[in-house]
Amino acid sequence: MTIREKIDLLMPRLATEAQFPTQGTTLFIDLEREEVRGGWIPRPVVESFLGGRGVNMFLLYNLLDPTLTPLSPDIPLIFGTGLLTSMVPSASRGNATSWSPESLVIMDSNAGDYFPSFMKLGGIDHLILFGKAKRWTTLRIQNRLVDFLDASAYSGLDNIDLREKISLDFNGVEGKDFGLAAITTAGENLVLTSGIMAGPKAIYARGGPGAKMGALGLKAVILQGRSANLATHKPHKTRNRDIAKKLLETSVVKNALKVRGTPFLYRPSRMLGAMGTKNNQLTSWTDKLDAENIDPFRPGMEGCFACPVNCRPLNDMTHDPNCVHDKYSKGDGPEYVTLGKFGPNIGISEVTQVLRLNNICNDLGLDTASTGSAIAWAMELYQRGLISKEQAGIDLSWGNYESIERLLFMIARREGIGDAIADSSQAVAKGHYPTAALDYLMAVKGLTQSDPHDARILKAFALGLAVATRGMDHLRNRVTLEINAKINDDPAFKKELYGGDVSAEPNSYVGKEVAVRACENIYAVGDAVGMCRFTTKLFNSPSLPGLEEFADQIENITGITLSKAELDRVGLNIMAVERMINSKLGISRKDDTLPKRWFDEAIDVGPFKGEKIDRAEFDGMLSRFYAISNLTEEGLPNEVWRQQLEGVLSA
Amino acid sequence: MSNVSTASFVLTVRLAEPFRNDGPDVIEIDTPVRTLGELTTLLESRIANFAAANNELFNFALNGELILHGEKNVALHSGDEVELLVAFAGG
Repeated sequence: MTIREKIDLLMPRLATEAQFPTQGTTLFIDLEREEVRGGWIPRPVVESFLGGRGVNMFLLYNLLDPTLTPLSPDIPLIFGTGLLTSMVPSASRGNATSWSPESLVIMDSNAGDYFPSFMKLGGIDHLILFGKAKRWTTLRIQNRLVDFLDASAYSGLDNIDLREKISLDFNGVEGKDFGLAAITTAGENLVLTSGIMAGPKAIYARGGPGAKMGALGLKAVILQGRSANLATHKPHKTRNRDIAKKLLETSVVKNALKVRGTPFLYRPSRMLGAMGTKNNQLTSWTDKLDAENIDPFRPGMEGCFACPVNCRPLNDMTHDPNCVHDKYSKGDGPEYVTLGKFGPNIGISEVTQVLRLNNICNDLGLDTASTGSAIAWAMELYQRGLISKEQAGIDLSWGNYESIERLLFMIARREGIGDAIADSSQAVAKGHYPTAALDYLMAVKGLTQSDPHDARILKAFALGLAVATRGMDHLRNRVTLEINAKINDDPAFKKELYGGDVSAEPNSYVGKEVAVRACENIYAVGDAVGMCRFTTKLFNSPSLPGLEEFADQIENITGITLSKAELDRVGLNIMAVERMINSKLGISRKDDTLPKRWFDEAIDVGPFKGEKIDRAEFDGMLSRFYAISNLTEEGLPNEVWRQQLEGVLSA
Repeated sequence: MSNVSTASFVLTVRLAEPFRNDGPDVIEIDTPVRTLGELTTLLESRIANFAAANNELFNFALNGELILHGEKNVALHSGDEVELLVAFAGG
């Protein structure tokens, strides 16, 4: 069945009018035929999955043909904005969802800045893009009307030049006059580590969204127009003030995120002996990359739409005579992920080198997590002789800055060894590397690890990375508070926080499944309403807004009443549908695992020297996780629940 | 603390920014303390905002190694370097 036939079946099941005052429309955009259809997500679907990531999964479940391949034009790329996006402080997020060409499981990538907010403000909740455009195309959407514009003038442009040219051509300022999601040349070249840029740095990053959008022949989506006052069910601004106050008074926001942003994480990870170094062969690295060493190059902080936190550090090296002065001398970032992936993970120890690589990745539209991981993997293969000097063509020794900078451009253009690295975790399947290379791939379900934290010590982190539905990614369920001694040392508080007993010892396997379950639920709900992960309860603080605040504002804004327990169930539902989709793609219990290295090799530094993952203990923890998640031994929703879900998914 | 020798006891304590109050980032403690719990009590008496600011975001590190649990009972010895630092793991 073609996607058009699938949409034909879906359309009569959609509502013909908005289900609540702030609901946006769902547009199905056929890029090949330049046709648009629309409808509204039915209320029972909203009550089960809310919006954003949740409803994206409802749409993917209905539209996915697993007999195709991810880059087929009949596999849709779905943008979704959160139920509360743009209407609640720090809720500025949305998701891009598809079948990942990088991991071959679900692709579900989250970004902020302005694009998701402009979707909501423009009256659009979901965009379903399919069919291959006959030429490079830009979509301009204004008042829900779609123009298919020739994008040949933009083809070949990367992020900096593209955003500048679009601002000139459309006579406006991004974030004020329009929201923009666009791919770079890396996306045009179907680089599997390329993302969709939602701002100077903001990126739908994980799983190859850039390649997916490139395969549709779509260069950019421009959203123009915003209605300043979305009518809500009940006044919600008073509660917004409470939420903003809560955000700004939380210690992690006040003392860390607003001050230096996420690079603060580098130091504790390093001191724990958990800093992924040289493709996780080592776990500690220099103090030269500690966050305070970035201070001289940080002119200020930036933020996403209507977020009071402003956690994104900017960088500027133009005052440093030792730095190259060109368009990469200043930019946006880095986040901790980039600091780790382009620092210790590839053997770089100079702050200015990390900053420059960060700025280049932002321009080339490369996901720093996947790209940094793919480079580190190639470097280890080079170290071990599994990539020869002849095949590499350049020196892939650890820390060779000149090679790495050059390599980023080679990846974006798929030149030389860059072509192999552009295939990320699929490099063996595509014949670039020998099968033995897989022993050194730091990936789960085909997705390389999102962050640099080596999880052999903290077993809750390890379980989270193993069971995350989109692959090895910490943003789906990380029990970040496991690193906080004061919480670990307060068992009653910890029990209340997670809804069950969780061992105080971070390297224990006992009860960690309870904490991962709690985090996975609240983070899925956060994604569905559009809340930033950094400001969601349990991610870095027990004091941030959580289910209670989400429930209040869902009711105020949509009129839908959901209790905290019901919202928690929504989080579980979203995870379940993702597992049902992954099952169609061949995923089962065997894939909820960890890289071989973490089972076989122990950490050799720090307070947890000797720590690794015990296979039997891990397996037991996984079984307990399945049991409390109402999953079968193969990791799928149990029969009763599955039937209930299918009732909503197929009704 | 009577059974603790007071002879030339010294601890170096590095403070995270919220505890500095425009003072130095490194202080020396010459009052003998046996554990991080005792050190915490001492710092609460010496630094005005210490008790209020010392929330779950801050961990101790001892001689460059992060302490993740059992914080109050971690033993200290003269010559140790203690650091109070921002510790979070989600970014």
